[in-house]
Amino acid sequence: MTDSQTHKPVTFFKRWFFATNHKDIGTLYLCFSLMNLFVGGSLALIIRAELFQPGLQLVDPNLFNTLVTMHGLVMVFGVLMPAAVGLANWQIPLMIGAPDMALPRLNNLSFWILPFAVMLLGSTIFMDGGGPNFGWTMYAPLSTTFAPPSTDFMIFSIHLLGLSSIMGAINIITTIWRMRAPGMTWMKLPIFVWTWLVTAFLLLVIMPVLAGVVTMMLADRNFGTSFFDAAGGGDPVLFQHVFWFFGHPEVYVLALPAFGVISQVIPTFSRKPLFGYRFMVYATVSIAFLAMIVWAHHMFTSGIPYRAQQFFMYSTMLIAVPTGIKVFNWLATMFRGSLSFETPMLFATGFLALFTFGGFTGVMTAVAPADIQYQDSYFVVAHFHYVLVSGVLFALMSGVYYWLPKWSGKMYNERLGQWHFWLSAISVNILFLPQHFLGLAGMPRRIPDYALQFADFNAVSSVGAMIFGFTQLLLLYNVIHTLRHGQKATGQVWDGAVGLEWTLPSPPPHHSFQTPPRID
Amino acid sequence: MHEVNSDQQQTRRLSLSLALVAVLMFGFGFALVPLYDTLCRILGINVKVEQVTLAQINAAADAQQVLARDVRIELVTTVSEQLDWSFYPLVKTLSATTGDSNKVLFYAKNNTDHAVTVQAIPSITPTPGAKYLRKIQCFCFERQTLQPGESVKMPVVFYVDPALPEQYQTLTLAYALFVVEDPPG
Repeated sequence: MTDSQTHKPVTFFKRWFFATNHKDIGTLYLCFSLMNLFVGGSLALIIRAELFQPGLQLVDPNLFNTLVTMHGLVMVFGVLMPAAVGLANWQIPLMIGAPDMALPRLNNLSFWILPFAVMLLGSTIFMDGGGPNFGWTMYAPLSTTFAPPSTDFMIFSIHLLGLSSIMGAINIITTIWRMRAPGMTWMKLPIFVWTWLVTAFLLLVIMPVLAGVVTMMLADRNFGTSFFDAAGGGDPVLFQHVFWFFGHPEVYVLALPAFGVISQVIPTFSRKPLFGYRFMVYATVSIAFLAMIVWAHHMFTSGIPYRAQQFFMYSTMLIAVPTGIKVFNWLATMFRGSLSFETPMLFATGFLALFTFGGFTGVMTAVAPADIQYQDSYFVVAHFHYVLVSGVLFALMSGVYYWLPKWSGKMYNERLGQWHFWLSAISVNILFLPQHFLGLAGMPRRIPDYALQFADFNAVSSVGAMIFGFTQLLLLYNVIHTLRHGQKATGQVWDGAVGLEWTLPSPPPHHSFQTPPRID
Repeated sequence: MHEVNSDQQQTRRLSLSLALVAVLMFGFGFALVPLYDTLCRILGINVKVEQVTLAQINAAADAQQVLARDVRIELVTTVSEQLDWSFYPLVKTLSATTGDSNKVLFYAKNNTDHAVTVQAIPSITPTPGAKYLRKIQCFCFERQTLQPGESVKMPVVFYVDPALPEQYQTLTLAYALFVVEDPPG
């Protein structure tokens, strides 16, 4: 079964547009995500160029706000989520010994909704009155009473994105639940699969709530309801509650698959099994549970009662416990391991240091009285970019470098990968570290102009942004270079790698594990 | 073959029940709206404007141990010069016990030879006491139309809030009549 091409090769159009093969769909997701990384990244570079010095130079304030909104939405829904789903599509069937995803046609639909949803979202920039300009959090009444007409298109786009995620989540849960190879009990499940199972449940529970809240926005805007309008008996603070009921677990939807990747990469390059597998599983589940009950820590200044602030403050700080378990388990895995630092491991260790740093500023913002100062300042911007860029994005990079030889059958250019990592790791700190100081000094987020005393740190941050942004072209070049000129990779690829996917040749046959392997 | 089918059925059942979870969570998003209102009301947060009944005001006054007392109410009327109407209260003064509702009648007659529509505008002096005289029913809430020579007795039902500060012993309720529109033709 080295070449199980059981049917004739099909045309390019049929192969990709009618794709039902998990490997093809995984590739589609990953390519789509990589493309959006450059779209969302370009938006960020315009933002940073405008902020290079005080005053208005490049864009007018409304366009600036639109860029901020689009950057957030594209990066969350167009880059991080599709990349994680792409990894899931490629890896879950390979790691549990299944021939494909459980619902291949639904899988096709899940992916092919995405490009249209993102195009619809992008088209709003060119509409009369400009694109949505109220930030990705879409707070009412900015997004209802005072929003441009194009907001309705954004709402529909979010409906589509949500639908895609929900279908993806159903597919992933069904696959993991029903299609594990014989003998693969729950506690033998690879940790990446575990994190995705928990993530998929989170998605299933929160994405419909997002769909609900944007539907309420739509009704308030067009059908005369008053969900968020105090004049009609509604309440704008309600929007924040419903949005963050979705929004906070969403952060963990992005983070948990990243944890999963790191939990695969670190043991491979430490040449030791993952330390405390069982606790990693429990930590994943408890993070997901806690994520559901901490949403109002985004709303400490919205006038919620002190008792509630206290509850949300303590429950938020409690998340540091399972997350800490994970961090210490990764360190314990590395401890006395036979370490080597190929690109995936570099990104994983970069993740470990910088994600933990972002976690610490997270604990700072969890403290309700202190958060009153941080709220809506650049400190918050710095915090979540450490967590999402040098955290989640680094983990995704790590996963791509780790599995790319398996997917393509060719080895990437290690030297280029190392350059990519070191330039990224240094520039990401030049980019985001000064933003902490700006925030603490009082610079608000989402403004195109600022007071003179913020000029120096903003200039430094913008220089970091340019280096970080253009460094990512190295990833694109390296991927293309690998596919064209990469040296042949072995099936095992990494000498320390353990798992079903490494028992297959590289690249794996189009249809793999048609006879399920037995796990002892 | 049979086994394969039941395998497919189980997969189908699982994915359909997962889809049901998604649908239920969509509903849950909307259920958060009344839940939020209820929680706010129970916890007394963010209280929206509510209607207050006489019984609630009396209960609040009882709780504060405000004793009921008698207040002298004077009733005054004025008619605009252009209007040939008779308009006066049937009693000129009365003594009202705070917290109790009182009913007084005003007599109005149209002395002209055509139908006239009027609007009565109330005013209460002294001004700081005005908010304690609460009208439950009043002819001034709506316009009045009388045919030539027609007369009517119009009621006002009011009570004096027990929270009326002690320095106010007398409240004067005055009505001024104004023509709202010209008679047709």
